[in-house]
Amino acid sequence: MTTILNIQGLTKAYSGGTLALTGIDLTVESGEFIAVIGPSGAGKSTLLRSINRLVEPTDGTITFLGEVMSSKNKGSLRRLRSQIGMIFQHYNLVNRSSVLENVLHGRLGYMSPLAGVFSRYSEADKQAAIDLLVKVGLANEVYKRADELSGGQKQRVGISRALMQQPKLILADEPIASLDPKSSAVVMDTIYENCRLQGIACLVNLHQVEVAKKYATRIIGIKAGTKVFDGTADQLTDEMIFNIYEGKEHEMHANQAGA
Amino acid sequence: MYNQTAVPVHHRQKKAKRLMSLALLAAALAFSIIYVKFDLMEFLSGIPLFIRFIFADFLPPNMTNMNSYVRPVLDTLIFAVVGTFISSAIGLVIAFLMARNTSPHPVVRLVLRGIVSFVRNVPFLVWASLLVVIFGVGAMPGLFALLVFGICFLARVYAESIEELDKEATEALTASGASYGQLIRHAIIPQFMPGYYSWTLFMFEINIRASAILGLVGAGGIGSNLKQAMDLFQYGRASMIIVILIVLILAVEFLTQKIRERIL
Amino acid sequence: MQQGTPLQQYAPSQSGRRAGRSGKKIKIAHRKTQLQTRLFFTAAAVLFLVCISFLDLSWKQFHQGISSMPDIASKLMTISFEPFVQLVDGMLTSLIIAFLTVVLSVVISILLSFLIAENITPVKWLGRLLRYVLLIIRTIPTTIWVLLAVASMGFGSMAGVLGLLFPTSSYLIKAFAAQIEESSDDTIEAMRSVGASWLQIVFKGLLPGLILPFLAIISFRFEMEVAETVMLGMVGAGGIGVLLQDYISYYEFADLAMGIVIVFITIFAVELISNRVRSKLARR
Repeated sequence: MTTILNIQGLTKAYSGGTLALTGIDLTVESGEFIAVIGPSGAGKSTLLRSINRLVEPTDGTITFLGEVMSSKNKGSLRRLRSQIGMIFQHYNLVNRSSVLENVLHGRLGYMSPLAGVFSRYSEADKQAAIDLLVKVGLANEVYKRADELSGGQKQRVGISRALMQQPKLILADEPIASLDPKSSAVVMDTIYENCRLQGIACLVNLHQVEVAKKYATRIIGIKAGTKVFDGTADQLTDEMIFNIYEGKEHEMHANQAGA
Repeated sequence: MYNQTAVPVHHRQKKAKRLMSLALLAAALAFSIIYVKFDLMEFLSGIPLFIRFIFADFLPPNMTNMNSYVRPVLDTLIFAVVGTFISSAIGLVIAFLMARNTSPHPVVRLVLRGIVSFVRNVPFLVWASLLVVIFGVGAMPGLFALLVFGICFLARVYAESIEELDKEATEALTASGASYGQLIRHAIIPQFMPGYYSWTLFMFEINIRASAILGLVGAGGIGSNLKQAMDLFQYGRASMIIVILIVLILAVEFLTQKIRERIL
Repeated sequence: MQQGTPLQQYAPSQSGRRAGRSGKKIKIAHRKTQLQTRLFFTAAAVLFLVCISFLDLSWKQFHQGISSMPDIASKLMTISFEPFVQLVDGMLTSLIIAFLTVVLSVVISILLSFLIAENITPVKWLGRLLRYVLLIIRTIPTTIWVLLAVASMGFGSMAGVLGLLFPTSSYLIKAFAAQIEESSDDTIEAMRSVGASWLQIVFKGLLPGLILPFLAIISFRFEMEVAETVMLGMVGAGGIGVLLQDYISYYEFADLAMGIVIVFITIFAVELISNRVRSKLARR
């Protein structure tokens, strides 16, 4: 097993003084499928966004594939980001572009800035994007506009975009929080299958403990910005779950939209 | 419990406040009327005179020699097209430089914002007259006035619609390692297009109206024919020009509305 | 644990779409959106080229204008404080013209807007007729109204108020009526059912709830009105515009610069105050 990601003492204080994360340590090995659980506001989203520097951490080091992530050098940051796929709760597609274009956006990080601006995607990339869409069951949606799709379909486009990056790591921030149970199952299966087949390590933020237990090879529990649990699904006792969700018990099961 | 006593007090305060506002309004009115020596009786008696002026002297429009109106109408349309096209191109560049989420540097943003707000807050006709002084009478100062106003107006409204775009798509492309230029091209521009179409068409409508006004300070367009007719007391001709203007403006608004409905 | 299989290079699978297999480039855009974009910009470009070919602009005029600019700019820079009092007086007059116009227009508009609003109008056909009249009034640019008022009344602030009254009232009536139509039909129905008269419904039932939104509309219009008044002074409606036009025609650029500064500060301040008022109203 090779180490994909290593986080040491990650701390994030937002301006105004609220501490979102306090000294998180975490190591992700290749092939792991890690669920991050915890109540809303615990800092799950900040944790994921700190990894690819969408959020600038206050303190701590993040090493990705042996290289320290830093915002200092724009070029190297782009290169590192291009190897980390990200999936969002609100899909974050470009609504007025075609589904195919949205998937191809995953290649932008690998292209020269100018070639990217003029959409000079290679024919191989285009074909690969179409194949990906076929694989996730969107063969008939390739040329539709992203705003014509349903929520579940949009999220599958989001997954395809992340896979298009040929990432070593996928960060999924509440990928099913805005979806109905049926679409949720399809989306989770798609993420899980693709990560397993291509050996992509994955960090998924989840509200729902049951979903986390079903898929995860490892579960991380976050409470008020601190890691309070790190183990397999079997080790996650009911007692532990109640500790993590203390005061916000109603969030454990409900498939919540928003939040 | 204490609420019951609190309600009437609050009520009384509100009433006193309302009386105060009314008194202030009355005082302001009194001051205004005295300051500009506004003679209310004369003003009121002026209204029927004005209406008689419009219906007796002004109407009906003089329908003869319709050919003489063709060139001014075409000029007005040409002004509006050229003005809208150039100001939308330049305004777009400025908008991207000054919108919060696309500006390359905060200093650039601040400087541009200052200039744009200064130009916009001095009325259009002041710039137009100044340009007439600089370039002499004719089409040139008129076109430049449209450009000065149009660029600043569009830069501001474009920048506002760019700032209002949701940040989700931008976030996703940033996360996948896209560069600044790629972000603008693939995340910002596609989402901004509806706002762009809508404001540009609106600019065209404004420019039709504006080129009608520009003539009044000697800057060409159908307004100069109107001014000429008024100065020579050819009221039939003047009212004909106004009728043509109404038709022109309504037609353009109808057309732009149709385009807006088609493009979404 | 799933040990990672070596990273798969994506080989084009057999299930892929046929598009582009024959060496043709694969299209990626949404066709209709792309077509619309191209159509819009092609039409705009063609229109622009046709129009600019009709426009006869002389290089000589442009050159002369540009070469005269440094001179004018340097004169503008020698900003003069001499006409300060006169300009402030003019600015105040402009503000007063705007104020009086808005007050008079509000009185007219409150009455007429209830005649026009679909849900409360007592005479349907009259309301509809008024709508068309207002459309025509609104279509005629403000400047032309003032020009007509000046022709009938002579120069001065009264002509300014009269000229501005028409576009201002038609704007306010439309905005007020839209607000009335938005307000609840429940109130109207409830009051009708207890036999209230039209006037009672309007003044006791609807107006109290409409005062705040009306105030927001009025403050917005006042902001526009000030800019209009300054401009219209330049065609003879009194106020600071008259002075500005004089300075420009007599090439008194130092004085003009002072005028521009005063106008800028005033309009900026009015905008700031009116924004503040509206955000305060919105919070209530």
